[in-house]
Amino acid sequence: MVVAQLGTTTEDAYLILQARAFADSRPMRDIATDVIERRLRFTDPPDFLREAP
Amino acid sequence: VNNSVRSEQLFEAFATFADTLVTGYDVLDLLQKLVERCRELLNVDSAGILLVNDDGTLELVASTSEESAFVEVIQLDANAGPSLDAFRSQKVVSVPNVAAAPEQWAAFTTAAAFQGINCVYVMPLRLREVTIGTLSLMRHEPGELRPYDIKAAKALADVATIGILQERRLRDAESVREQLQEALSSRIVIEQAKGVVAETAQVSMDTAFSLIRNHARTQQQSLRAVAGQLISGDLRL
Repeated sequence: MVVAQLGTTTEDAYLILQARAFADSRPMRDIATDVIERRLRFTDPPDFLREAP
Repeated sequence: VNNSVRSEQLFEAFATFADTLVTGYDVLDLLQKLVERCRELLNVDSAGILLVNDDGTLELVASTSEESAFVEVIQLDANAGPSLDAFRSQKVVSVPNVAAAPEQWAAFTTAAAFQGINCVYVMPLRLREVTIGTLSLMRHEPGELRPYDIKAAKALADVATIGILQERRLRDAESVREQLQEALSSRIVIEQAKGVVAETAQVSMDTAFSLIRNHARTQQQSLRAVAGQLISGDLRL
């Protein structure tokens, strides 16, 4: 699903999931579950990259 | 479905599999068709196949639904459950009532109950002394499987075993495990493709798999080939 969301390769998608798990201090399995159950998408920029209103 | 119609369908299935074995095939496609026939022809709600990998541990290679896949994966994760027992003991393990399953299978029992599966029947895929995996049949309704279903399932399991071992012989590979590993890595590619389709078409994983399977069927391509095109973006469903 991350492959389709970001138009990337499976290898990069794996790294992105791994990075997110590391950043959130959560198991990769949890991150993966969130993606599959559509609670998490990798299309939006993270909060800290958004410009303040 | 009455018995004579079922016998005829079963006969059709075996004829098709025999033909497949003679004319050439992709192991993963064969196993996927096998579990689907099990679900259609036997009095069960889902079926799945586990195969042993390079390290000697079991992995899921084919299943008819996400529900049964989940129950299998939880067992592998907990390293306990009827599928593992059947593999290790090389004997059939019947769980006619999941609620009454042994305590050491707690993870399995919880997962099965969560998916509404109340009856599980697992047979080892084995040829003489070699056991290469398991075939699981799952049902919502508790109770023993009918002798007819058990007999038919045993024959289908034998077809699966022969199919896997025969492919190895035909390709003159170094080991059975190498061939199994290939089927297992195909499965990973297919899971990835399911994710791509689930996202691009905004459908469930089960529907995504159906779309992939139908495309493979109508285009007469292997599941793995179609999955590869989906992941690389060369194909969109």
